[in-house]
Amino acid sequence: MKLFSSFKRRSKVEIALYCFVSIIFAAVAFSYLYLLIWALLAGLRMHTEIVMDPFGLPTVLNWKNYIDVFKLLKVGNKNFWDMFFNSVYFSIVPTLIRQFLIMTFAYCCTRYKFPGSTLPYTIIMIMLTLPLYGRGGAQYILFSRLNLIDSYFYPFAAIGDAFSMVFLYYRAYYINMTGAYMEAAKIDGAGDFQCYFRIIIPMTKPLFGAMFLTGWLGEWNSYEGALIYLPSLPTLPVGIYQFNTEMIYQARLDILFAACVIVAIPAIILFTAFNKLITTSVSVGGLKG
Amino acid sequence: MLQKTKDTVKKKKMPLETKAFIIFSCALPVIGWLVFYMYVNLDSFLMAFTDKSGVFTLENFVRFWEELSKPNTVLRVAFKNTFLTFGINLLCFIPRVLVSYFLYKRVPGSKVFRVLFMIPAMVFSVALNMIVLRLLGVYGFVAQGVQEMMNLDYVPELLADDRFANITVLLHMVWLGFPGDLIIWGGTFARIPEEVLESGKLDGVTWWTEFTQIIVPMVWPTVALQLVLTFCNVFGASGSVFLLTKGEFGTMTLSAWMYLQVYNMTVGHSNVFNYMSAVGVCLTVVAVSISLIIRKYTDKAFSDVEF
Repeated sequence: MKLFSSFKRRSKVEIALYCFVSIIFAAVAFSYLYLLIWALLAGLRMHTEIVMDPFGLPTVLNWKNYIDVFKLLKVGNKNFWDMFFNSVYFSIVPTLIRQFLIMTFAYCCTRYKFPGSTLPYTIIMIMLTLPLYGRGGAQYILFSRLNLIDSYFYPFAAIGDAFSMVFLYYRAYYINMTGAYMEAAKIDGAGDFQCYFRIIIPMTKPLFGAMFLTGWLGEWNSYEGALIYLPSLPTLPVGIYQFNTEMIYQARLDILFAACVIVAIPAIILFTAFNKLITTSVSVGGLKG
Repeated sequence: MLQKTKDTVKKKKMPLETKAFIIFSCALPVIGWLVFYMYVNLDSFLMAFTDKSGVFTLENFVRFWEELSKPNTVLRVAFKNTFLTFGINLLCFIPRVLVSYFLYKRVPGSKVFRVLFMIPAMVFSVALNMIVLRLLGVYGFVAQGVQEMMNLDYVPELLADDRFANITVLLHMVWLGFPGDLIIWGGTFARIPEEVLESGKLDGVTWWTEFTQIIVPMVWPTVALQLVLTFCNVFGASGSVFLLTKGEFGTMTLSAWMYLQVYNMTVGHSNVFNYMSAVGVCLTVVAVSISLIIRKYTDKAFSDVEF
C-alpha cells in the first residue's frame, strides 16, 4: 500500500499520469538492472559459454571466478590489490583536497569582506559561460614538467580545481547559513580559525558529505585522467580497460565480468546508503519567489 | 560625534588572525588556479601559434581550415557529430528535468527508481561499456532485432559498421543519460517549500496548474542556468565515443578527438599538441560568440539566478 501512498488526494488524471510515468521508469530501471544482472551471471559462467551463448544462463555456478578475479586480474606487474590501492588513493586524496580547499575558499569569500572577495565568483561565472578548449596538450606538458605523471603526487593537481561549479554549491550554502553561532562564539572569544574548525565545518557536514561522495564517485569511476597520467599506476577502471584490451592473447571474459561486478559493489553500497543525502543536499541556481 | 565614529570604523584595522585566515583560505586555491588553469590555457594559446620547435607559425590554423574544407575528414565528421550530440542533449533536457520532477512527486516506486537510476553513475563507465559492447554484439538480441527490422541477410556489427555506429552511440547516450542530473534537480525540487504546494492544493489547483504556474516559475532560475551552461558547452557534447568505438566508423566527436590526441601521444603515436591547441583556439572563439549571444538573449532569465 505504501507503494501507492502518492495517490492520496490526487485526481484520476494525475493517477493515470503517474502510473504511465512509473511504467516508463520501470522499463528504464529494469534495463539498467539487467546490465548488472547480466554481468553478475556472466561472471558465474565459463569463458567459452559466454562466447558461444552470451545470453544463456549458467549451467554450473562458477563462484570461483569471483575469487579468481583477485589472482587473475593483472595488468603488467600490477595485481588486483595494487590497482585497488591505487583506486582508493587516487579517488580519496584528490577529493579530500578539492573539497576541503573549495569549502574553505568559498566560506572565506562569502563571509569575509576583503578586496577581491567577490572576484572568484565573477571568475567562475566567466569560466562556466566562456569555456576554453584544447588545453589537453598544454596540461600534459605541464604535468610532465612537474613530475606529476605516474606519481603519487598526481592528486595534488586538484588544488587547481577551486574555481569550479562546486564553489557555487558551497557559496549558496554559506549565504543562507545563519551567522548567529559565529557571533556568539566570537563574543565568547573564539578566533577565526577556531570558529571555522569548531563551528563552520561541523555545520557544513551535510553538504560536504554529499559533495565528497559525488566527487569521490566521479574519481572512483573515472578512467580518462588515469589512462593518460598514470600508465604505470593503473586504477581499477584502467585495469579493467587494459585487461580487456590484452585479452586478445588470453581471453577470460568470465573474469572480466566478475571484476566488473566486484568493483561496482563499493559505489553501489555507498550510494544506496547515502542516496537521500546526495540527492537533496545540493542546489545551485536558486528558487524564485 | 557621528563623524568621529565613522572615522573610527573606517580606520578599524582587520585583526591579524583574520588576515591569516584569509591568506590560509585563499592562497592555495589562487596559486592552483594560476598554475593549472591560467598558465595551462595561456600556454595552450601560445602553442597554437607555434610549431613543435617553438617557432611562430600559422600553419596549424591553415591545416585546420584545410581539414574543414575537405569532405569526410575526421574533424568534419567530429563537428557534425558534436552538433548532432548537442542537439539531442538539448532535446533531452526537458524530459531529464521531468524525471527528477516525477521522482520528487513520488510516483509509485520512486524510492527504488532513485537508486536504480544512479546505476550508470555508480558502475565504472569502463565496466558498463564492456557489458554494453557484448550485449550489442552480433549474438545480442539488439543486433538481431535490427537485422530483422531492416531485412538484412547478415547480423550487423552495430558499433563496427559505418551505417549503424553513430546512431548506436547516440541512442546509448540517450538511454544511459535518461535520468539526467538527479543530484542538481533532486536538490532543486527538494527546496520547493511544501507550504506553497499545500496552499495551492487547498485552493483546488489541478496538477497541470501546479506544474505550470507554481513549480516551473519557481525552478526557472535553475532551468535557465542549466540551459545556458548546456549551450556554452556545445563543443564538449559527446557520448561514450572513446570506450565504444574510439571514434572509428564515423562516430568521432570533437571532445573525443581532443582526448584521443593526448591518449595517442602517451601510447607513442605522433605529437599533434600544437595543432590541437589551434583547433581549441578556433572552437573557443566560436563558443565564446555563442555564449555571449545566449547570455544577451537570456539576460532576463539569468538575472533571476541566485547561486
